Amino acid sequence: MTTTTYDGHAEEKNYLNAKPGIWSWLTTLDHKRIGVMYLISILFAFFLGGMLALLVRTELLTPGKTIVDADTYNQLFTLHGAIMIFLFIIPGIPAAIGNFVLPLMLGAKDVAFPRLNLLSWYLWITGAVFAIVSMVVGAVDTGWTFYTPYSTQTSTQVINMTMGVFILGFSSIFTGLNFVVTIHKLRPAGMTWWRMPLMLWGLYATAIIQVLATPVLGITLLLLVAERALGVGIFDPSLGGDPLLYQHFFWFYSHPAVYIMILPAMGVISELISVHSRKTIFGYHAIALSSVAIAAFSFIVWGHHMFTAMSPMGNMIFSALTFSVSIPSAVKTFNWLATLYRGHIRLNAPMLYALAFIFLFGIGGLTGLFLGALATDIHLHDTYFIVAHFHYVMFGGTVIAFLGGIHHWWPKMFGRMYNENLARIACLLIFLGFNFTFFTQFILGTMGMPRRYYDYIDTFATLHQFSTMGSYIMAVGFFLTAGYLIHSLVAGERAVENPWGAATLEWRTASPPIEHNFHETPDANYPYDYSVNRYNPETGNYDYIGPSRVDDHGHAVGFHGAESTT
Amino acid sequence: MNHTPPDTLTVIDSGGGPDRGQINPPGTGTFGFVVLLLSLAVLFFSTMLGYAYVRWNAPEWPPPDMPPLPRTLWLSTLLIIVSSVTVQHAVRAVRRDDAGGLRTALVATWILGALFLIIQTMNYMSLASSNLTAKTNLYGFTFYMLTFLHALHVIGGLIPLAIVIRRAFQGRYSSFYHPGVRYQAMYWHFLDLIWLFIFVVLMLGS
Amino acid sequence: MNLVFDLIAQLALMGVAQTANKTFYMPPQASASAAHVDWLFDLILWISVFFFVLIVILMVMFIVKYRVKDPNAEGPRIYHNTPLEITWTAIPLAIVVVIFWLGFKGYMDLAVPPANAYEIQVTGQKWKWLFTYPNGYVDEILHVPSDRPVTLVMTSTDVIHAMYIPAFRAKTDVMPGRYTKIWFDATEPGTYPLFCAEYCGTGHSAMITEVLVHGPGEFETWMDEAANWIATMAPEEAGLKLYSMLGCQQCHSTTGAAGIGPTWAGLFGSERKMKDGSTIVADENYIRQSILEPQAEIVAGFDPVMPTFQGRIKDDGIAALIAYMKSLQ
Ligand code: HEA
Ligand code: HEA
Ligand code: HEC
Ligand code: CUA
Ligand SMILES: [Cu+2]
Repeated sequence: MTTTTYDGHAEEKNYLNAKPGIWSWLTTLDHKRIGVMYLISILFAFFLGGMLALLVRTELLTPGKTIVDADTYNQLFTLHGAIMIFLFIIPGIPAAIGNFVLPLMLGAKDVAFPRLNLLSWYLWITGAVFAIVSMVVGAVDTGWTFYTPYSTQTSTQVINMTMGVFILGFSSIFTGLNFVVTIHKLRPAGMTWWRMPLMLWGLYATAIIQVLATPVLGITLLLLVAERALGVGIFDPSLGGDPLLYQHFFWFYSHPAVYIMILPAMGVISELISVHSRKTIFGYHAIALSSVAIAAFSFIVWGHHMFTAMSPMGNMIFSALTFSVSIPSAVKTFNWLATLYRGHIRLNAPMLYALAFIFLFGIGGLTGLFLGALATDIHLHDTYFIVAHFHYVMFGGTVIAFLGGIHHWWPKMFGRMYNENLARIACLLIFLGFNFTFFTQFILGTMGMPRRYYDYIDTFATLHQFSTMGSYIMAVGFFLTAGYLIHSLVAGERAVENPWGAATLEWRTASPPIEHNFHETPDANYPYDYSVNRYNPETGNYDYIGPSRVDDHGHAVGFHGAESTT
Repeated sequence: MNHTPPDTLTVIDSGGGPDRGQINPPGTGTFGFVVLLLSLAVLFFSTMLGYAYVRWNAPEWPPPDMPPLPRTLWLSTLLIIVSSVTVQHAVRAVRRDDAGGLRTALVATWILGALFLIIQTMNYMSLASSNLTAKTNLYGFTFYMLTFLHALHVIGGLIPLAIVIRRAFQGRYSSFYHPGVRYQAMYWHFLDLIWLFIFVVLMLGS
Repeated sequence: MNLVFDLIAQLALMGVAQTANKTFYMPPQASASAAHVDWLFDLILWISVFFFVLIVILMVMFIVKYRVKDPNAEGPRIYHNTPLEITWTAIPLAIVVVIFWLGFKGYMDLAVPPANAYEIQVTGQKWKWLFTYPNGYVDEILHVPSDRPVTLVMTSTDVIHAMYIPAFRAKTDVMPGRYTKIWFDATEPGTYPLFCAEYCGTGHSAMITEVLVHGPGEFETWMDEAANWIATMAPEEAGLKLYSMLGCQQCHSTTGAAGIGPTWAGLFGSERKMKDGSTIVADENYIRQSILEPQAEIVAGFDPVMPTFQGRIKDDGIAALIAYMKSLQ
């Protein structure tokens, strides 16, 4: 019963074809189907945000007007930022990939609250409708940060957009709540906290932030709406209110939110690096704990977005605290490197993305140091240096990890392989295009080019042109990706149960999994013990042969601590 | 998967129910509910912090010619504390399989909750008649903001409470099975506690 | 322990001292603090380059050396290595402590203006900057003396803006309802761009102007000239400039439309009806009085809300305004 691979006949139903019809999808409680619906939805948002980005870049090709006027430009970058952040990258990895793999990794049948899970998706859709309606009837022009008093004065669709974001916040809270409870309560026999895959540690840390930080965004947006609707509120300086209070509220959520984006990405990378170098992860405890540490620290550094507005005292404290977050990130980076050491590295698309992640997140994270340091941040704040920094961490970090994750779990999700060579080419195009686009922006920023500028002085023209060209290269890479992935869905080679030889539980069921995930609950082994599989040259599958040693209860033994070497 | 006897929790906590074949271990639902309450607590505390910030930076509080906060806030406080007691009674009653006691306690809680809302409305009306509305100034705005946010959550509690009452009258709860009553009680105590915080903050503020 | 950090910082300082001047990626250094900021920037840059290169080299080496050969092979089970892990936690920690401290020290220099600084009042509004000098002169370009600390005392009339002068490495938010300060000591005479760095709507990217740093002694010369700028222009032109500079345009149109105050179109020489029923011909004396003592005569149909401009405008200014009004016939 260890292999349910495809042998050409007597094919078992899987979660994709178990129940037919669009209605069965829209009412499904299956976490895998919800994950796939989320995947489609957020990819749509990503596509939309990407197209807006291309318009932004095209406008910046030349100083002055290139294709749109100033007001339209302001709406373009606001929508680009808001869609990318709230509709794409925050739900991104947890709700799409996380939803799919989390219960599978636990050997469970589903998350703890499947109905809540579906509700979360519908809330996403509702929020997206609000956002897109606001786009159609006149778009917002406030920047994704909605700073008051500009956002209370502008005549654009602020209420529509903030209500959308408000609803998306609920969607995010519910996903987080579900994951916290699922991880606490549904771990299988034998999977203690210290035997949990690192992806789950990442999702767990993320979920905690989602649950505890998002309500603050909710109340902030409600107060903003009240201020616009009633003409009074605590952010209004003419009444003794304070626009800085808005910024404190906003960043109290939005700084932790950047770790909502990166923590699951780091979880993905921990899996990919270990699996594709066929070596147990180095520093399991350090990686797991650093996720929790990042989550904890993330709540106390928000003030670093306001260095040009706060008192020296506040600035000093927030600057010091900001650096605390970089330590756990450094720890993770070095642990990943150490995992590569003496591994058996497979340079396929998921691994290429993982390596690209280390490269790009390294740059993005290190440039965070320039921003955490007060003297340099004063110069760099609100310039293209910031734009470059956050694209390096969000795109170079999260999106790259997302792409790596998609390629890694694609065979499991859809039971098909993609074209490996095209995947590598696309990865290269995206990597090169990305660096072209955004490395130039670091230079622009240090030279003093402010962000959110429709027009710029001639000094900056050449670098802007480079940047725009880069974004076109990147777009080609993405269209190629979309192309071969869609092709794989209809004509891809059938995937085996465990093509990578991974040792986490989701690879112990068919690809794609059956509707209830497992025929019988699998017994957890150490998630990075690669001796539990044996490669079968005939099928290309890594057959499960079980852990080499078991204890009295039949659980795997022989990992961390027990066999520590070097 | 787990071999715990079918106690109260196992049944109601079975997340997706039979359709997903997922049997959650005991306490899953309760744990989820606690996480939800934590999330709500963050919402209320950040709002109170916002109030504190505005209050701290104000030169005078209440601003000149502004009415003090209504005395009847004490009455609201009393009502909600009593309702916390009654809802706890309901839990105790259902654990003793005392169906009559359960019904009385639940109905009493509902009435107290509704009364609380009525008193709050009267507070609003009395303030509005002395020309303090949410639009007057920050003094007004913050008061309405805090109390209205809380009132919304009370309304959000009365609706499920009505359903729980209906089920209690249908005799659906027993000492073995009474998730609705338990969740309702947790939520109610939470609202009570939050109100006490809001009340203290408002009183300290003025 | 602290001593060690300081030592590291000092060494790093010496290492980058040569490169700290004038780089292609930094704007010119035109203020006393710019060099320090650039120095810190370069320090962090080289630390980052070091770690980045280290990481990439190791990565590439491992990839080249440890490619998969046997699909069943498993890497050695190295679960962790405590000394190694402590090292790579402690070293970054020490480094960030140093960076924090240097950043904070540099920032305190940027943030605390010396007491003897020359003060210029700044108003940010959608979408222009107004600089008011101690003698009441207002300009849309920032003129500053070199080698003398200057403090800008800034506020906004509408939304948040931010004063950003890259060449001085200086930036501070400009907010409605409060005053914020920024200071610098310009060292290099010349003209540098000045930006609005906080998003403020349609004209955000057009809210740029220049800082003109005058060489030694030149600032005073300029100031004297500027104080007498009315004399250097045709009176109508000077009047037009005063019209917007002093804010008359908030209440008076020149198109014939009534605003808060009567229009100036066709005003001069016409017969004015007063609130008390009398009529006055709008001649030079009447206009002079209207500007200096607006409450003396109130035009029928308007409220007595015009502020006095006594002390804010001199005779040459009044003459220029009258000339301008005459041109609006
Ligand atoms: C995924 C999202 C993400 C992540 C992970 C980060 C990570 C970090 N960010 Fe970033 N940040 C954003 C998203 C993110 N940021 C966004 C969106 C904005 C702008 C919002 C807006 O205004 O619109 C922003 C803005 C921003 C600012 C405000 C700048 C300004 O507006 O003036 C600051 C200031 O401190 C900052 C700092 C940091 C730091 C110190 C880290 C650290 O966590 C980085 C840690 C990582 C490393 C340090 C690299 C790995 C380690 C090594 C390679 C080893 C060597 C290490 C050492 C020697 C320390 N970020
Ligand atoms: C996740 C977050 C994210 C991502 C991925 C991106 C991606 C991109 N961003 Fe953006 N960006 C933001 C978040 C993000 N951005 C935010 C928050 C802001 C600040 C807004 C503000 O100031 O308020 C911003 C601002 C911003 C600016 C500054 C505007 C200004 O200040 O004036 C610029 C300018 O160059 C820019 C460019 C780009 C470009 C060229 C891309 C490209 O990388 C995009 C490439 C993507 C595509 C071309 C899409 C292709 C997709 C498909 C074909 C679908 C199929 C895909 C698969 C199957 C995988 N972005
Ligand atoms: C706050 C609004 C306001 C500003 C600013 C203002 N005015 Fe006036 N002004 C008025 C009003 C209202 C009246 C009509 C009532 C009165 O006569 O005082 C008026 C009347 C006048 C008159 C008489 C016009 C007539 O129709 O008889 C003159 C001349 C005048 N202003 C000149 C000026 C000049 C010059 C400035 C700027 C240096 C200026 N005002 C700025 C509001 C303003
Ligand atoms: Cu003013 Cu931007
Ligand atoms: Cu941040």
